[in-house]
Amino acid sequence: MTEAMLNLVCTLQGHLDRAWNVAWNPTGTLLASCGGDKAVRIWGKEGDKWVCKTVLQDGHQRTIRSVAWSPCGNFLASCSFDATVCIWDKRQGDFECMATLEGHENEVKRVAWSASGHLMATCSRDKSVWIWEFDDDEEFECASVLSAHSQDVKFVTWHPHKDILASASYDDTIKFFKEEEDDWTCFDTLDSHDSTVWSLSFDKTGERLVSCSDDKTVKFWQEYLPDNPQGVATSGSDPKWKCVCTLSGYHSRTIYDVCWCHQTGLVATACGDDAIRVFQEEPNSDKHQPSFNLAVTVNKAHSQDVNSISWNPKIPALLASCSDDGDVKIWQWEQKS
Amino acid sequence: MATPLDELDVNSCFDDIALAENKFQSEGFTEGLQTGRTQGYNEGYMLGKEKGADMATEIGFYDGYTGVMKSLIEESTNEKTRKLKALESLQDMIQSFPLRDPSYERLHSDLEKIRAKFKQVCSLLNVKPQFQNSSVKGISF
Repeated sequence: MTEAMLNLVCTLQGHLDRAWNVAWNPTGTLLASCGGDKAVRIWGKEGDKWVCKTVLQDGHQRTIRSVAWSPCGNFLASCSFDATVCIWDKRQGDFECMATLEGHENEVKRVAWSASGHLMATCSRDKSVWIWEFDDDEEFECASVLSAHSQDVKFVTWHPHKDILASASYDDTIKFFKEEEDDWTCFDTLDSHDSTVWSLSFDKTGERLVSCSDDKTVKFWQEYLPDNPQGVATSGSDPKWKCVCTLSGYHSRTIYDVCWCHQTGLVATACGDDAIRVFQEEPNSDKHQPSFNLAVTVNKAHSQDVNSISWNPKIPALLASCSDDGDVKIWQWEQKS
Repeated sequence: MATPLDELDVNSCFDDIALAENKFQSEGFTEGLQTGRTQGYNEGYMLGKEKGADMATEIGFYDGYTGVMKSLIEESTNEKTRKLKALESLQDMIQSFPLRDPSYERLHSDLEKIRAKFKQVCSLLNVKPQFQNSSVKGISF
């Protein structure tokens, strides 16, 4: 039996209101956080200590709900309840607001950059998902407006290496989108959650997805291509996503975020019961019927709801979290055998 | 027309009195149902007329707007093709929208698609949508 721990590395204080989202840059050296104080804070390591490097203000009029780094690491996108998205350029050293994207009717909930860096997706309480193309002239153009969801869209994320978008909504569904003849279309709808789906995370292969929901469950999904040996029915040339594992009974309140570590395969959840949990897949588990074990629970990880968590993309098993209590925390996973 | 007294059957007289309430109730019901039907029909007709007109006005607005913007862009040669493509696909969607078939299954979902396409067009043209019709923002039942 191995013993696992999640050790607190540091607590980063600075946000004057609830902290909504944390995001590592692609090299794992900088952490961006944002919150109800309408500010984005950039944290970095100086010596052994994590410190606040910059505060980006004046970009938004209302709460900043989420932030996302471009794959090249030069740009940071922030989206806000003021219905706009700001693009910050860091190439000159300090972050300069190079573009403000308008179009959503109200609160923008999430922004996500595709793996190629040429596409960006945003979603909003106005029930729509927008896809933006970022061309070589560094201009953003709207490639599509998707009104496939019947309610508030909470989350969008891109496949780790294909131009495939997944979205999650207050209508309890997860939808997949792809480009088809100059426009984007929905090719799969996953509807086994019983309440709002809050967050999604692909594993490193992009063949598996994990989702978390207000129904207090975490679900694992497996992609099945046409003519798969398992005999899962597909339509045309599109893959079909099937729920292969549901974790229930572990969380006592809404699960707001889930993150699948691309280096270690660990799955962390952020929950409304103030706890952070880490799940580990059983060795030799069958991917068509996987089993995940709860490896660690950090009760009272924050003093209020944990809103967001993110594994560092380069430093193995380093986790960042943030909460309604305004704190950003960094944790290191450790396993003793 | 009263029936002469000597032709009256005593039993049916008593029946008439005893069952008068039932009789008037059923007559009242039939009359009320008729009136209700007419009134309900008229109300429904007006509502349908209003909603139908709203929808057609909205589609008409998009059609006119798209047509004008398309010819303006086609006049100036150096414009990017994405704008034209989006306008063309919006035009196709409007033309295939069955305005005269209210029982069309995807009436509302198709209208949502047209609205979404219009938003994309506005974003590409860098204009703010101005369409403001009475109560059209999202028809719901």
